[in-house]
Amino acid sequence: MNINFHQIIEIASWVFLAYGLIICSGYIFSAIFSLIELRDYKKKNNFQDEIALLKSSNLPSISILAPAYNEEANAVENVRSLLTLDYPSFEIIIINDGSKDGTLQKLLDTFDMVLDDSLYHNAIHTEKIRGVYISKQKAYKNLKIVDKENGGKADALNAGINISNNPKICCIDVDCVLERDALLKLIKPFLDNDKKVIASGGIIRIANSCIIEDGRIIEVRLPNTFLARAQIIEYFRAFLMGRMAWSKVDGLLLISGAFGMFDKETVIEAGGYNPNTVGEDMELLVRMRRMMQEKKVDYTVAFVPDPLCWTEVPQQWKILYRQRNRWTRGTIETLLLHKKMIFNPKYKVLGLLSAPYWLFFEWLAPIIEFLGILFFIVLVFFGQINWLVFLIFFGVVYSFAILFSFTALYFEEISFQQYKKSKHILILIGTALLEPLIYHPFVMFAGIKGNIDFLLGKKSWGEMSRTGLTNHQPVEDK
Amino acid sequence: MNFHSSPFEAWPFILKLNFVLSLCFFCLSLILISALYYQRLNKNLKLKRRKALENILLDFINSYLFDEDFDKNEEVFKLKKEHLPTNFHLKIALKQLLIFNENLKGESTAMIKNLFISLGLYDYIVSELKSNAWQRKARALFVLSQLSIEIPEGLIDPLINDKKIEVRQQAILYILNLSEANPLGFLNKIKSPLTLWQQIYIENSLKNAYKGEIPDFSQWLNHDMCSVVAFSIRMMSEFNQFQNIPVLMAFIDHKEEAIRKEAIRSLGKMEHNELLPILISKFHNETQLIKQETLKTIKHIGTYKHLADLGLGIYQENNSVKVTYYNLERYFRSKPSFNIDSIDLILKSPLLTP
Repeated sequence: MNINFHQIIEIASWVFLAYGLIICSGYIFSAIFSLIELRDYKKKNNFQDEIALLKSSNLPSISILAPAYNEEANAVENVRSLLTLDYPSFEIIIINDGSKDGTLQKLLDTFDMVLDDSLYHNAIHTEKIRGVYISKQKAYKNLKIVDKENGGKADALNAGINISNNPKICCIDVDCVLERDALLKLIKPFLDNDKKVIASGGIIRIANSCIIEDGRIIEVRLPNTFLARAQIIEYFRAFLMGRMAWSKVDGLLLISGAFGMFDKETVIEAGGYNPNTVGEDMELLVRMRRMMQEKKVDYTVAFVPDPLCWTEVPQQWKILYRQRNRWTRGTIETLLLHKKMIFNPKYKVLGLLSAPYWLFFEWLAPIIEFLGILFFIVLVFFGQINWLVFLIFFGVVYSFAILFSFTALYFEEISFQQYKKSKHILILIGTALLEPLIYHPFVMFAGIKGNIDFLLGKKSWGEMSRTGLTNHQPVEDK
Repeated sequence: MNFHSSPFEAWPFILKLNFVLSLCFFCLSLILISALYYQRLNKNLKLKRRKALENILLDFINSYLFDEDFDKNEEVFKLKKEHLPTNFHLKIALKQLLIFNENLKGESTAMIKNLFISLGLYDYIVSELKSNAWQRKARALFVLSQLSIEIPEGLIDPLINDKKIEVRQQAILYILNLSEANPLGFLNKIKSPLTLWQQIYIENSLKNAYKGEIPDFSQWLNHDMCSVVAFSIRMMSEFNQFQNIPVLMAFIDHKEEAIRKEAIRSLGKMEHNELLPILISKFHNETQLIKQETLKTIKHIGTYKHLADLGLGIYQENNSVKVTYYNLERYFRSKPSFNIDSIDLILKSPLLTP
């Protein structure tokens, strides 16, 4: 029995080590690919001013779709900010997804909206549309407000797609702050590519504590809380390293729901957003890509690393917990819906690299990590722990985690350097040192709970509360 | 297993490996932090040097352009010797010249060109153009085009078909900006399709930078590449080349959908009314894209009568086309000029809309 127990320990040790090594190799490759992609992007875009092109009447028109649910406090300011974007031809469609507060009325009153009796083609099924409103004032002629019964974010976006009149749609969170030239930068890959581009996404930056005036970022500041700063490090890793690398090998499976542009025709052909998943952004892109692969069309998905979109991240642990729980369930739902792709050579990079990566390192990572912790507790319980061995194993995991975060910080430094003060670097280094000890275990726990909730059939989004980018005081959780 | 007291050599391999890896990762972390700070310091230092040099250049260029007592030859020699020893410094000088060039006109721009040559920047840029790095070629082309500096055609021609799209684009812009008579001659030489982005750039240059006579776009209507044909058709309406309407009419039957669409759009923009009866007669056999374009054209230059001519066949169309049709019907009926009594009986039937 004693020998068997030791054998189990040894096998488990090797399994965890092998898993760790595969993850490390993946991260190293992603760092290399990201560096190449970032360097290429900077080379392509560092000498030329494209603002002059904004005069062109031949740039494709864009429909910005922004679902709003109980956004009474910020909706008007956010719409005003969207109205000032620099682009020759765009419409803004705000979809009031059955808000329980005064979001709709406030928007209707402020922008002098009246009911529009035009007909719209419901290419994608949605919950009932109560009305579409347009403004009586010429200044707001590119604004539409859709009032519909509550059906969730995916359903609201589908309603927006049905109402939209333009060939490209840009889906955003209504509370995001966009850079003035965000639309021009995001549409460029669609126009400057030999292949058909079905979607393009951008980097999401964290706006907590930043100074914002008239819907514009005036000064980039580091957030005051550890939680938000830890998410900065996490976003650097995810966007500057992860997505840049996936973009390099054309294996992107996710364009953030907070800011992404899509070819409307392809979206409709793929069936629009899936309202039955909580990870609708990832699911849509995977479905679109799967469809294109199956139709054998030469296509690509683009990624723009410029900081174009700023958003607020959770500053409270319980809100973060809900968000990560939902992200985990969204990942599981998407992977299960498209399980046919995993390890399927027919889907090339997506089938052989991207989907397996998401399976093993996004879905299963918290589970394996959690099992590792359980394994450690069992060893302690049976008095089988050798503390030197533990320290060495812990040291390798911890040192790799901080190395990866520092690499992300370095990439930010050589690319966009949004945090200008030397003090900022020091604070971010400190955050990176603490993040694996405090933040990461919590996110892992939220991931585990997401798995359990998925098994229990939980489908809800979970209410998200935001502090508001114009008001930095915490508000009560809705 | 008690390793506390055993020497490192006696540790199992897996432990040794992990220990060494930990040390490596920690060391790499330290190196990265150092690199990060070095990068920041270096950037700040470069910025400082850049600012200092920019100030010197600012004074120098101002004096060069506007001070009549300024000893140009002597001062240029001194500037080159004292302040422009490396490529880094030359790049800053180039940037300053570009800023001045953008903000000045007439005689001053000619003087900037002279200064560009006296500072030895021409040789530097030509060497950049001949380098293997695509971004250096693209940047060199950008500078030459902005400053309107002519270089031998032999250096430009191969770059029109460079494998990098950015180089091709800059080569095209260079030709457009410097050309005096034949700005689109390169279209006969290109071997890769024009992206929409390039087309927008070309259009922008033709409208805002090119001063000569706009070429007749009909010369590229039989080009091998669809993108060039579509672009030429679009430009005909942008530059009001009404004389090409007869030849353009043939393109509404082109086998490529994109070209048919472009032809309809262009003819519609030029308000060629004879187009509508032909489009209406072909409507039900066309693709969805062309049907939508036809409806748009009817809205733009047609009447309710044209819409009604589409007939009952509209019931067999897909929902998207039907919705556009119904909205168009409402649009015409809501127009103040609409007179239901003046049109025939078919049009007096109830609205198709529910």
